[in-house]
Amino acid sequence: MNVAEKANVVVDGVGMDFAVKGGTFTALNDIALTLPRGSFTTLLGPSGCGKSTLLRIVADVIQPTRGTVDLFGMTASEARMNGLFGFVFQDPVLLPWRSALGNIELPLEAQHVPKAERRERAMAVLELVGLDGFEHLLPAKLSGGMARRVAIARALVVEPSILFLDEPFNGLDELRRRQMNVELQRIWSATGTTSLLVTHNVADAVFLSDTVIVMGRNPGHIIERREIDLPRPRSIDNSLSPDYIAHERALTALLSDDYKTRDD
Amino acid sequence: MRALPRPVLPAIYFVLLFAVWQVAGQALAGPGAVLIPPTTIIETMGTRWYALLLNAGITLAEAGQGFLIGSISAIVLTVVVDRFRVVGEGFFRLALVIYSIPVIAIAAPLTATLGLGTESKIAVAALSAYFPVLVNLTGALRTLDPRIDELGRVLAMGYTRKLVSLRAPAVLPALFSSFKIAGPAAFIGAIIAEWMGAESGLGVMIIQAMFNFNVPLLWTVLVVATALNGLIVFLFDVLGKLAAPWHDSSKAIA
Repeated sequence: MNVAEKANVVVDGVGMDFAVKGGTFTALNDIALTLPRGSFTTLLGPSGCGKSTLLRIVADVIQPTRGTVDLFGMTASEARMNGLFGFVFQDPVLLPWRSALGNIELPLEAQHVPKAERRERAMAVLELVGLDGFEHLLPAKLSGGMARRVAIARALVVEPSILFLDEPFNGLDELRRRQMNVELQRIWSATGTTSLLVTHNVADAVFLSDTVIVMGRNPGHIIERREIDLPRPRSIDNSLSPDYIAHERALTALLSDDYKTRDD
Repeated sequence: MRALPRPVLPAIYFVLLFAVWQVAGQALAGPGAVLIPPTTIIETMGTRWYALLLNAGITLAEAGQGFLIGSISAIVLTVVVDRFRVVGEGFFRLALVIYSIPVIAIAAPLTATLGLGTESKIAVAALSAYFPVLVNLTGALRTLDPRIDELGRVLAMGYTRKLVSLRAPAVLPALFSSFKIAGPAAFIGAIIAEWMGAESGLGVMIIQAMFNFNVPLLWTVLVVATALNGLIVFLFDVLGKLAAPWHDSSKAIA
């Protein structure tokens, strides 16, 4: 079997132009990447490198100007319409009039899943993200960490073929963020869902990923692809060890080079 | 100094206002007086309570029917404007133009066309009510958090599903805010239409009191109408809180 057949997601020659006053602005150019089935891949880069745009292109939220996206032999649009996507936004984006459980059931309603099955599946994911007992709380009563767990549960409830994570732990304090990383790793291991994370945080990228794709700016492009061969499960304690630091150092160096060469 | 509870200060102002009003009204008392003291108004309410109740009921019924017609049309029009941007934009402009006609100017031809019955009053009330609902609701839908749209897209929701599950509940507070404007507008519209010719209603009472130089009755109707207006606002405030209890405790989208 060759690599292409095993591959889940293949992005090829993708570029994105935006119309601006007096011409076009190229946000992304010549992006090619492959996400193997069941892997955890991170797009790491500074603000403005187009990593969120790339994520949205793969998730068919926006259409690229150039290039193709192939998910499991389908176009991005077909995959989305088939309900294969789970998406976690930068902020939880929960519906404040629905309980935690109601928010998690939302994607199943869109897929016309019967009520009893909806409830059952939502409760199962709720348990997976460690929120059992809090199912009837409204979002206003949830802490930041809990709200993000609900957002992750809502993405996972459809048993997605691919999970998109757009800086999901933005705005959490340092310790809470590390704890959520551990949680996310546990959930990912339990479900085996192919995952694509966007972050500017080097430590998060190393901790969570099988592969880190470092991106640079002007226009957004891929600088390097780095495999993170650290054993799993990874823990907060381990994450301070030299192996982790070596990866963080290498990634930081790549990012710094980009800043030096592009910020004149 | 310790802060006073919130309703205390306005209450003090009201008491002061009434006291000054009472004193000034009594000082200027006499035939042809224009400032009627509150005690006289209360007295008039006592003697004319049946006529006031009857006419207020008639005006409220007209305003209520007009409000229903106006706000339901506005909600339907809002969805049309939202769903079909190009066609909808034309409707929206037309709605703006219609609203630019002063109520008092449109009340006359409507009364001439629809007659002196309740139909003309309901029509004017409806015309007064639809606009605040249309503008507020359209605005609320357009300024919704764009991530709501992204969520709907990622979940492969169609237009209707997205409207019902995500967008409509999110604009519920805005809808009830618009009712707080549209309700009194319908009420005032009904009164104005009654001036143009009607058999009964608060507007008719005002006209009759004016022609008979019955200044105390004029003031009494004014106070009753103001109180009813306040009551309408209060009613929609309460209904809005019941319909969207989550609204005050959080942002539109957490």
